Amino acid sequence: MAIAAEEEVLLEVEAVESVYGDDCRVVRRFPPHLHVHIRPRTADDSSQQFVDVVLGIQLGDKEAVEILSSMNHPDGNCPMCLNPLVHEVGHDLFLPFMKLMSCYHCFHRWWSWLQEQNETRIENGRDTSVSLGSSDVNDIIKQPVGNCPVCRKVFHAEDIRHVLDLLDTDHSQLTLEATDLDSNAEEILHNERENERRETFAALLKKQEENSGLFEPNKTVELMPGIFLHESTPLMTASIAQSACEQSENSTGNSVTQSNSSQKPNVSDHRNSNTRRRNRAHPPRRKDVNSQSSRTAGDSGLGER
Amino acid sequence: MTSTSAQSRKTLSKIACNRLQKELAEWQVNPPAGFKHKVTDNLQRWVIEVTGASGTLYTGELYQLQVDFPEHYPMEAPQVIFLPPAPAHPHIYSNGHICLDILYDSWSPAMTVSSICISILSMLSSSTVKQRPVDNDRYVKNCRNGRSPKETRWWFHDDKV
Repeated sequence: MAIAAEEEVLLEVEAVESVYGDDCRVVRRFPPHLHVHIRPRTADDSSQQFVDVVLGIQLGDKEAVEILSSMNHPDGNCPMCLNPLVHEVGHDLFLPFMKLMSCYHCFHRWWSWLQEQNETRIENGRDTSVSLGSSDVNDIIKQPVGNCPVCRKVFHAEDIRHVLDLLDTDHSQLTLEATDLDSNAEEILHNERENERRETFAALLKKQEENSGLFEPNKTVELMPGIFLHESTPLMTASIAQSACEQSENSTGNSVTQSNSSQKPNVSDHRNSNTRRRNRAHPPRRKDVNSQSSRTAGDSGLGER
Repeated sequence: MTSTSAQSRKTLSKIACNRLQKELAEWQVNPPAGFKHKVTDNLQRWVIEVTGASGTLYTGELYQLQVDFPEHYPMEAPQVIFLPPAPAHPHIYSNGHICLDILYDSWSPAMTVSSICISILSMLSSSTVKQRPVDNDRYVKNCRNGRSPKETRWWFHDDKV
């Protein structure tokens, strides 16, 4: 760390030397001590020069490192979104940015750019082998190359390794929040009414879950020989509705899907095993369904609990 | 000539919108020399007036560029064509399509409308003859159904003009 800082200071001294040439006298390189002779602009016509100055620049090694540290950020705008890479102190908007280690070009929101790029490529069906073509972070590590959008220099997985953890942990957050530059959305999302609404919704959702009032995402049902789809579909819906009603009345913890379970016997929900067996034991009753839909629903799902 | 690819008809993504607003603001402060953006309220299609640079074959001539932005600009290149009449140039077809690598394969998201304009003016300025591409008629015939130049498989062979 200290060595790196010293090197940076030395680089700066070298820069001053090359800018001022003979007008710069280096008394000591580190900690730096320089004399720089500065004259007014007169196209080097000394007869027109009435003033000049010798700037003495001297820094303790601590000061030098501190000044450098405070300047240690890229200047200018992100070449892709055109927003400043680093805002002035006191600005509360901070977007993370990353630097390509091989060419020092910096970008905001690397992750969302990558994602957009992928989407675009997929849409266009273009060749994905040249540049970062996958939305999977692990694949990015494996894929060795991409091109810097600014200088087209090929970069390697190592170049973005220092930000991979950022991508990995909260890339979703990055894309969502960073995209919203207006802090308005932030305010709306976190105001009291919205919080209340969320709590109420969460409570409702929980209750529904407890009472099995939710339709879970479809499990894959394989059709196998010997399984037939029930013919009277409208009836089926009727019976589901019926059982759902009953459920809310006596609030026993049974799943709505149970009322159907005999129609898709390979649903692997072991809680249902009793009911299912019972249904299977009475296959003929299913035939009555047409005439007594509501009763059947009660029987198959919830009747005797 | 209003050929528009299917992609550029989709509305701009939020990122694309933000970026274009930035570009427009920057253009208003610091437009590329020789270009004038014709003001409209359509962020997705810019029409830009080009004046041929002095000391070139196109000195003082006026042309119009039409730039259409795709949903995922700048990850994807905009479609750039000359509105008729297109300048006579070995890389510009009479239907306004421009054979210039940065508009297609060599596009980079770090480029801007402003940088495209400068490239096109440079391409015009370095021309030594006012001439259509050799395959002009065949190409233009193939594009009669309103095909976008972005659907063309371009072959970039000339690095002088």
